[in-house]
Amino acid sequence: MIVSWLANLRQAVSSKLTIGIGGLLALAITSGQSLLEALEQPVLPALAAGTPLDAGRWRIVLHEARLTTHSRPDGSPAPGGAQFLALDLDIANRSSETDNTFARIVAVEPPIEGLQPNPTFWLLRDKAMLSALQPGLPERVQVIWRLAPGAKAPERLRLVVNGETFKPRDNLFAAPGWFNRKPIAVATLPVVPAEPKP
Amino acid sequence: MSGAFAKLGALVLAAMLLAGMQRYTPGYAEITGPIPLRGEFGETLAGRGFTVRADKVLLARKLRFKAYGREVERDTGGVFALVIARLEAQPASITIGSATWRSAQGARFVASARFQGAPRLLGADRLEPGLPQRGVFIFEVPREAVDGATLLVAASRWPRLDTQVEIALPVKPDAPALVIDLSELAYE
Repeated sequence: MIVSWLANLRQAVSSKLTIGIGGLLALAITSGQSLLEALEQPVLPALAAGTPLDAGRWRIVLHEARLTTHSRPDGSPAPGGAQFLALDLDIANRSSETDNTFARIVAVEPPIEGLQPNPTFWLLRDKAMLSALQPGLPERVQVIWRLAPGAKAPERLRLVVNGETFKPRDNLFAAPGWFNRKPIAVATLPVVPAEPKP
Repeated sequence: MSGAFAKLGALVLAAMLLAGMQRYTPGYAEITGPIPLRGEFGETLAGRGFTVRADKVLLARKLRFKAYGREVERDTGGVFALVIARLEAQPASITIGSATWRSAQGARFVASARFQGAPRLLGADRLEPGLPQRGVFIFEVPREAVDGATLLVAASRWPRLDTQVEIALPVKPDAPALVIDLSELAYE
């Protein structure tokens, strides 16, 4: 009677101990991880204008950022004295497929007040909107953001460049694709003021 | 003791079998992927929903055309590849949403979107049964993607369990034309 009660007790204690230790261990690991993530300030490498950067899916070279009164690379000045921020860059599609996800490549970070999101991408070769980038054919592209009327013109443009990595088999469909978009570099460009009116 | 070994062995065997199956059996995307229909250049191929025949391949450095009353000239860092083809819906109306130039290295070039408004561009209009369309697919490719290329035609860019016509193109990258005027192309 006593012996079986002791055996039961031993089993109960050992199973509770196992569960408790496992739980504590899991808790310790997850808290450690989140602590590490909180401590680690990601220091992104700086990208200089004119230097090519391999961003996985794309290779880009940033050129000049400037203020302009043109809403598109070919046109006459936009009416009402509207101001725009234009950025010239080269983009090459390093993937094996025609791609139109170029809007994800750069992001203005921190956001500039008065700069409207969702810029337009222009293909300078055609002076027309960029619709797709063919693999292996780098193109000069102009990104144009509209500035809200009356907004203060920025002096610097800080851009975060996003990279993606290739997976030959994704987790859901086992299909190849580009995933894990994350910032890989940072560039700070001076904004060239608009050309004086003739 | 031998029983424990047998259990362990069975476990290891099962794990190896599962890992092997995960690695070497075709994935969902492959199982439900396009159904290839391979054919010769110049031959009429009948897929599910449409027939296609590729007649001519041309290369050019520049293309000229008239769109919306304006003369447009397009140039490229690579080369323009034109495939003159005949498409017909079969048996019901259909839109051919995808023409792709697949290079020998496996890169896929979707038909260029830089020719909106150009005459006789295939893939833009809906096809009707009994009214074949002759026109041109225009691709923009690097010169090294020309040799040994294949034309892929399907109703959508990523066909799922649907026909994808695959035609090997007899084309060499040497001597592309300087300029081709799309309105002067001989389609017939």
